[in-house]
Amino acid sequence: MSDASANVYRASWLAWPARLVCWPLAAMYVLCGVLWRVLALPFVALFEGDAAESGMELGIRLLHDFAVGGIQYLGFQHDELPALSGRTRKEGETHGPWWEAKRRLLKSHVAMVSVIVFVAYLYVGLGAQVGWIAPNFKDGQKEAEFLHPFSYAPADGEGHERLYVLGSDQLGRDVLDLALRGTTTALWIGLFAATISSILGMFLGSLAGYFGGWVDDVIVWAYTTLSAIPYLLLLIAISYVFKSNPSISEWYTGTFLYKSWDVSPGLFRIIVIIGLTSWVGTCRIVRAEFIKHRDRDYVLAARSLGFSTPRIIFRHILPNVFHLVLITFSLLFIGAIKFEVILSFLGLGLEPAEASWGNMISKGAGELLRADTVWWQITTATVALFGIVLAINLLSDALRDALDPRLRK
Amino acid sequence: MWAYIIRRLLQAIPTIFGVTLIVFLLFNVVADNPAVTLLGNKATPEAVAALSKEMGTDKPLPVQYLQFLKEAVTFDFGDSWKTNRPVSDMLLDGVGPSLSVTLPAFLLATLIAVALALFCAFYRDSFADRITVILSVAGMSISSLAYIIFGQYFVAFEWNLLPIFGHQGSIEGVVFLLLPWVIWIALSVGQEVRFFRTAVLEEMGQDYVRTAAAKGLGTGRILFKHILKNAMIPVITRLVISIPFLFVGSLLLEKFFGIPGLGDMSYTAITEQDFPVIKAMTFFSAIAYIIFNLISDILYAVVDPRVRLR
Amino acid sequence: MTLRRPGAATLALAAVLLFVGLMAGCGSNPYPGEDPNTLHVFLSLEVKSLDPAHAQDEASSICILNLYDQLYEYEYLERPFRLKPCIAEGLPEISEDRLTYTIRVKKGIRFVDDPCWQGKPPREVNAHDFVFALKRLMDVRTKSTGTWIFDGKVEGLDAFRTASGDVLPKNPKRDAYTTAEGYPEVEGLKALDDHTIQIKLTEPYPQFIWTLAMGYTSLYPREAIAYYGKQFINKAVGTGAYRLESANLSKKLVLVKNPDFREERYPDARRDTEAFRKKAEADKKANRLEDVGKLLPLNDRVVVTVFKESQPQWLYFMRGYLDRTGIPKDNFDGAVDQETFSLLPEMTDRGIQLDKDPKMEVIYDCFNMEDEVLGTPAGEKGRAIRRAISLAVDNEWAIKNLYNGRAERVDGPILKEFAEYDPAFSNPWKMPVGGSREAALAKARKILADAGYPDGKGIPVLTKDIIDSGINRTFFLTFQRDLAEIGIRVEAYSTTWPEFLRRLNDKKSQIWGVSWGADYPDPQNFFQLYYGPNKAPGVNKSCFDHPEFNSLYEQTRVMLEGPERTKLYRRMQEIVTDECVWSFRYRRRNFNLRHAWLFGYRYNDMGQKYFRYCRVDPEMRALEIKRVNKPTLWPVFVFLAFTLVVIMATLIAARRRVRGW
Repeated sequence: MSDASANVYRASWLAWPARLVCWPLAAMYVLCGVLWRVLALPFVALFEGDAAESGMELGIRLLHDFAVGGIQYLGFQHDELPALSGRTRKEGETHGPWWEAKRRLLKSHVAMVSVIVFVAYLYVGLGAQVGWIAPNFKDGQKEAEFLHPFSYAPADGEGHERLYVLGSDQLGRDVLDLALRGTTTALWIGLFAATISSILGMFLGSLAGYFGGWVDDVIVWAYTTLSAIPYLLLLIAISYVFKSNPSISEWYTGTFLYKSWDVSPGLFRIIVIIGLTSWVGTCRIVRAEFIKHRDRDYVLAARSLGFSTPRIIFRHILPNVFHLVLITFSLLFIGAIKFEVILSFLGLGLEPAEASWGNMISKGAGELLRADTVWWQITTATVALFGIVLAINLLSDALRDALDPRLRK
Repeated sequence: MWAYIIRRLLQAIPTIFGVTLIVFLLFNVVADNPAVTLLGNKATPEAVAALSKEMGTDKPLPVQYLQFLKEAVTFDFGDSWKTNRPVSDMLLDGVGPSLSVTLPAFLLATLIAVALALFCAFYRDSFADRITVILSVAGMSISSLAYIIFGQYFVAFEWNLLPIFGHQGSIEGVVFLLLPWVIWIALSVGQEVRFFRTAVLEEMGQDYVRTAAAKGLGTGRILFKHILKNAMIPVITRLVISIPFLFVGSLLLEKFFGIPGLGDMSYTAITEQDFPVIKAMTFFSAIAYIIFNLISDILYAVVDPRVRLR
Repeated sequence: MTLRRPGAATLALAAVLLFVGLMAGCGSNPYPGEDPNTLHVFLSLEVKSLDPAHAQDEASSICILNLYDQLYEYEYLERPFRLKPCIAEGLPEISEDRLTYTIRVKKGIRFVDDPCWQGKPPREVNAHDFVFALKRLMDVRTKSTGTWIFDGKVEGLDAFRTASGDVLPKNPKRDAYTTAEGYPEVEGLKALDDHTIQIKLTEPYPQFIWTLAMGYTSLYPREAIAYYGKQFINKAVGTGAYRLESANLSKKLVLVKNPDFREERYPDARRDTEAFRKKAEADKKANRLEDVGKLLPLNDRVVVTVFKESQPQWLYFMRGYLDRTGIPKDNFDGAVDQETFSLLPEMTDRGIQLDKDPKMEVIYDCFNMEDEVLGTPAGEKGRAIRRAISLAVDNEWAIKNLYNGRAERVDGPILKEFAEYDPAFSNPWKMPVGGSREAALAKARKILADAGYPDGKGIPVLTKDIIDSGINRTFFLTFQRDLAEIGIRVEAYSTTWPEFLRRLNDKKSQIWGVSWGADYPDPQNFFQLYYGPNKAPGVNKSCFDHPEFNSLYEQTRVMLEGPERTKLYRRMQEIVTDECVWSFRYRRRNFNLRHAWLFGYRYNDMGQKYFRYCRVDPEMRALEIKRVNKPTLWPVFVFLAFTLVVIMATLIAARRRVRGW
């Protein structure tokens, strides 16, 4: 059965470069898995008693899985997809719901390109955060005001020249550096706001869907109320109020986020506000799914087996719903980045001096209208934004198609 | 049917409560005393106290909240703190410009999107279909701010085809609206086309369509007589639900093009802490949202006989 | 397959074509379909209110002055400033003791037509309107910002003001805007009959007449207040040359010609002396004497657009959609030559002209005259320090580099627009006109050496208060650098406005730099700042107390304009400049640009009541607009072509394919 389809299956030629690009991430993921298992050992032993593997057995098994998994990841075995968790498929096990999805993804050229692009952005963002990429983006100087792309100008007081590949902005900062650093900002916002939203939405949606009754009523009331106010106005209102309240800003400057990770108050504010207000979509979807699933056989079985409610919700039902959450996550990611642009324009987002695509685009309005048109800042930011948003849009489409049960042959 | 409507309206009351609560918490609790902002650099303690007394912000919070509810019920939010005009007058003045931007643009965008979706479904996988899909996704990936800025720059500033900004209430004032319309359409058509195209394609994959084709009905006839009607359900639902947000107007378009609509008014009200206007705006938009949600559900039931309203 | 299906696609295509066609047909004119004889002006800030009682900020003040009339107004073309009767009939009759002013009101001036008359024709202005307007101005419930002009000056008005705060209005919602109760009688402000106003002052106040030309004292009918209540801030019912057609205070106002405007004509310039003849020539060159004798207003309509940002405003002007503009900072080098400060050829080729209109202000560094080191307690030595500082600051450099030429020299408190101005006067403790900086520095060093501070040794480190901001820090650095050249060291004390004001009142600051803008064109407005009894917390923040000056001030305070007062004023200026109470630095200039088709515009810093005097040449303007704003049509065609190509390609490809499910 699976052999017949395996002969016809051809992954996209881009799957190779995609896997290569993702290798650091995959390696980290595997490492985390290993560490997790090792650290969880004593607890597992505690709960499962005799049935638990001994440390030695676990170690050997992990090493074996790790080695096999690594080889498979590089694609040397064509009839099986890589088991990224390091766990090989045992005899007799059927493929999980993700197996088919991954195959379809690997087949699609578009999805592979999107993965490569997105991971590239991720690396740029990480690099800029750590300081390897564009470390001097803040350095601007008067003489380098509004340089055209591909122009040379002194970079520091001593007169050493450097090339401004994409020109400079009003403060003399290199636009390329700003855009690279802006990737970090965008990723911070996208990832964390979407994560907060998704977790919140999942949590509330599952509670509402599973329990029904007054819990459901309260949660439905909460999200109906939130959706009744036009989203942009809600964002503006909350941002404005939090921005102009000095005690909140004071509180924030004392936190470690500000002091050690250089997360500016504006960034924190945007992440929290978007995160706390855009959970409605996820919640709706999760709730609808839970309502469908809670009367299914497997749930009844789990309940009769005496499993605790949290376990049923999180370990049984939620994994079946997770793929929808993932799709919504990607849309939330994009939404968060786009809203940051609007909020920055309205002055309610990041400080104008910070490096973010939103700031660059907002300044573009004034810059284009100058007698000597300054077009490079807004164009760079728009293109940068376009790249990652397009990649994620295409990826989420591919994911949706990959996970669509109706397209299963 | 009527029982359903009444029940839904009753269920709406806690929602309205919730909305007023959010607004109240935000502006009366978290925000600074608006008297300080309104007075600016003349904010001596006596002046602040006097103004607070006049605005009623020195009363205890529950009393203020009850006052807010009273205003909501009587639909009278008093006078704006900034312009001294009655808030209802201001809202009425703003509805016209907002709708003049959003309504025609929205209708046109929907029309174009539906037409394109049908076209693409009809000529599935053709060159046009693929271009449309690519352009739609690409179009969705550009920031709306970039659309507006570049649009204004090229069409109005560089090519001198339309005025850069402004608004006039007369019939000649339509020149000021053309560019916002075009930008709105460019912004939203991508998303709409994808949505409608998916809806139509889903319908096309249904069994009854295959039956009709097997029966020998022409493609066009199938398309228009059967598929369209069924695909219209999500379309109409989406349309009706979008209507409340048309009233509020597009804040960004209004700001860039100097149109004195409700979007711009809300933004000004929020940043200048003009409570009466903020309260009125959020309250009315919540009501509009509830009403149009209800209408869309009813329409859904009317259009789809399988749906029974409970 | 047919081209007719799906029909919806064709529909959409048609809509798109229509669109595109429409777009190609329009231009970028932001005033579609309007009367060609319309003046296009701008405001840089939102109008806060059209109520004369709130005429404080510049934007509101401009609109109020042009929509309403006052008892007196400025002679449009004359400098030094002179008032002429507007609603009043002739100059006021002033009693012997200078305390009673009797003003007659012209007959036959009607208010504009407005709904507040409720169908009846508008009535004539009378003396009662002035009394009402002034009382309403002083009414506490109106919360006017202009009460200072009459505070303590008119008999009985202060008592009225206090009492107005106590009276509880019958309807709290309408409070100050109701006339239901009417106002009580005030002894010093009476209408003797319908056309005679009598004002009794508490003490002689020769500058009183200037206040009767301010926006605050505009005349309006009480019927408007009764009808509009709080809405009055959005309406204008005046006797001016214009009626308000529509007003969106934060975006645009449209004024239309008042058909019942009284007969007023464009004035001719005075040519009775050499000085005035020269000024008349300048006016002629600046397109201001084309329409002498013509009936006002010279245009039919005015569109006032509010520009909150400077770039769109500049854009509009360059495209011809504004008839005049200021020059935003960013565009300065694109418009004006940096050396000569005259217009660049690309502007003059289009016929654009530049006016450099000085503001009625003085920017100065003020010394604390009670300071131990540089004030009166330090006697000769203190005076030497002050004079040296005044000589050492390089005003010319600052004018050129920090102000881009947008400032001009000031010698003393009597500005050149004042009647008492003496062109021969030169501040002895500033570099003279045409002098050299080295000479000034040498003089400064000599003064210090003579006072016992050779090369500034022995002078402790001085402190200058500055309000913290980037630009102020730049100014301070240049101040510090200038003083270092004669050996004086100065540090900055950076503070905020509220703290700065507190320090001034507590006399803690040593040196500070501010500007003072004249409220009316009388040097007394400046001299009050040196009068002993006005010491801080009064307006005399420097706490200057000079017996001769004080007695001269008391003398001239009650004198009317004339040769004796001029003599005394000039003596007072001598004292002030000799004692170096202030280091007089400069005054700013507005660089105003206007297009070739705008005639009759003259900037008046005291009140911009210019709409009615401006004429535009519609054909000239239309030609220039058309020339500059040619539409580019190729993108439209490209878009159309692209759409057509895609559709054709699909139809052709579909024809070849078998269509199925």
